[in-house]
Amino acid sequence: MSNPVEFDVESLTVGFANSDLSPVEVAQACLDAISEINPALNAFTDFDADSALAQAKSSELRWRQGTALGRLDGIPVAIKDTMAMRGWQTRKGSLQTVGAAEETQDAPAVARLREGGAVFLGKTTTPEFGWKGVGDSPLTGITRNPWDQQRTTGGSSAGSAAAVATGMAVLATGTDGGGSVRMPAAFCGIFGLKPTFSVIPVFPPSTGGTLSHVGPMTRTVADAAAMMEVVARADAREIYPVPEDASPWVSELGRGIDGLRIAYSPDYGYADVDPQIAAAVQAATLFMQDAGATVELIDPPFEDPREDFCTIWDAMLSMALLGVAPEKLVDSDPGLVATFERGSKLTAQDYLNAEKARLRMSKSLAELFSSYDLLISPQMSTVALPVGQDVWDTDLQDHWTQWTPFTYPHNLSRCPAASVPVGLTDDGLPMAMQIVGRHFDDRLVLRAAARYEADNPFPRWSN
Amino acid sequence: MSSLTELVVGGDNPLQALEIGQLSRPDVAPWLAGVFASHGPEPDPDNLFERMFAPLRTNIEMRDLLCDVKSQGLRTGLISNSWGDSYDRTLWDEAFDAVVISGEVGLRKPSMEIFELALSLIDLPAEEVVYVDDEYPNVLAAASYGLRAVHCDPNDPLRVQRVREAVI
Repeated sequence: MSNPVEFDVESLTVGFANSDLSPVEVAQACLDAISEINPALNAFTDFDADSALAQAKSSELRWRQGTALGRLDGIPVAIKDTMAMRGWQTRKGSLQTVGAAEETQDAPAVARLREGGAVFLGKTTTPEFGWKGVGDSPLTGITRNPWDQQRTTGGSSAGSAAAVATGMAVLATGTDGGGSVRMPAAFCGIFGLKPTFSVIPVFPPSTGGTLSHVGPMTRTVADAAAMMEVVARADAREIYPVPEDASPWVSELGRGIDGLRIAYSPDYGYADVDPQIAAAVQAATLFMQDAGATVELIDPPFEDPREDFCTIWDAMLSMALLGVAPEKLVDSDPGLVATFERGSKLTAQDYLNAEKARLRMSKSLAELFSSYDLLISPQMSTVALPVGQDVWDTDLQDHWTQWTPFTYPHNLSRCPAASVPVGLTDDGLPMAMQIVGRHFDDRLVLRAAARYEADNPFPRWSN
Repeated sequence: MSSLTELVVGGDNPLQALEIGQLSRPDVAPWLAGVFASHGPEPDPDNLFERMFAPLRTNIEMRDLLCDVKSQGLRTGLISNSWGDSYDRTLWDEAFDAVVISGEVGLRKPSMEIFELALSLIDLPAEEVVYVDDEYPNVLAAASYGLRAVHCDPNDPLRVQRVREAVI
């Protein structure tokens, strides 16, 4: 149990319960991995070894006394630096947040993790205000992909993906306004879930508004389920609250997919997918069929909502730089400044028209889910981009949404969507499929992913 | 503590005025000593900048890379945001075809104008130039200006190797 990429929640907590393993040893293993790996990858904005070891020591005592706080007690967690963590600044990858006060309260997911005894290692990198799909920011520079350091982790939950993929953390939080959990999960070969909107409450309200979700980033589906069991709890601060569903997450995972009806769309009717990814996802759907589901190739489920997404996105993200003095905009990512400028020119009618189109798209998807339980597609159309590029094709593309055709529709739809690793390309880069479910059918999405994982273990990074 | 990068952020920051030559080191040193004092013991402002820069040493790997670049017949230039002038300019004439010092030209990175000036001096179009900087905001600005920009992250143990791969 010395290699932290082999850690998983269940085996760790069994070890803690049997006194075969101490949370202090586990935290130290993660901290050692951070010391060794983080300088080259740049996944953490900051970490606090002393605090982590003190938290682990407290957890060790609880396990010894039989007063453990739950299945995440003693599990090392990394928190994306768009989320509030008590006693830490929230810098959001921006030089505009210089001098930000230390937070006096935790974001809901962080509060639940703290109540559950998780060990906080530190905070992870994000592009400025999470505005783009790659992993660099003016504040922290480039976060590199562990599978190929000349490539991006993807974003915006960049550091969280790199930290989990390499064993620097067991679990991490991500936030997803246009694909920001799923893109880096796919590029780094880990599992990521964007739950149904608001199932994990958000506070303070995100820059991404009603596009924004919080989700787990983990090495296994079971770890994500364990995390959901702790963080998918109501919080009075959430401004779009949904009723809390206390039914179990982890114990549902093994129920299989026999009899499920799965829709398969290889391109959503508008995406141009890397042939290796297309083949790997198709093979995954064949597996799902062999495992007992009915898989049907479907017509495009909706028209590409990219323009409407961008209208809402630009409007939301423009708020991040609202009030920044014009002479200080030079300190922000030029791409975010361009987003701010576009968003500043939008009218209320532009915004409401985009929301109307969003409703139409959601209706099409709801109709699809009247006939099918799940929708499978590739997660990304490409492998991870080379670092220093915001777009895949610098001649033909000028916006990150042009290479993320499968992610943003489900920020509009607010449906649960998971990024599930489906192997490596010939060049050793991770590929993934996306499994989408009906609103509040998050457990079914995890169940299907777990069934796939059971026979197709996710790739494991090694140094 | 805020990094030195962050200290120069802010429209009316004295360090920015120092960088564009509007203030001198003695003008800014008391303010900077005060900033340090908010994070620990207050240093003596006398010769503060000189003491800060005294430990700096040439990065031999990077110097060798520069020599290799020159030996291949490529053109080289330097853009530096200056905190007063204490540069060791030995070999600069041989090493660089163009030099832009912020305090001398009244412009500072990451403004587009300083990249424009540097490109005009080196007489190359942006797309033919690789730009290397240790401050990532400058890398982003250079990239948006059309340069091929590479980050030389001081914390990255492979930084010079990465720059070498990008340049040569």
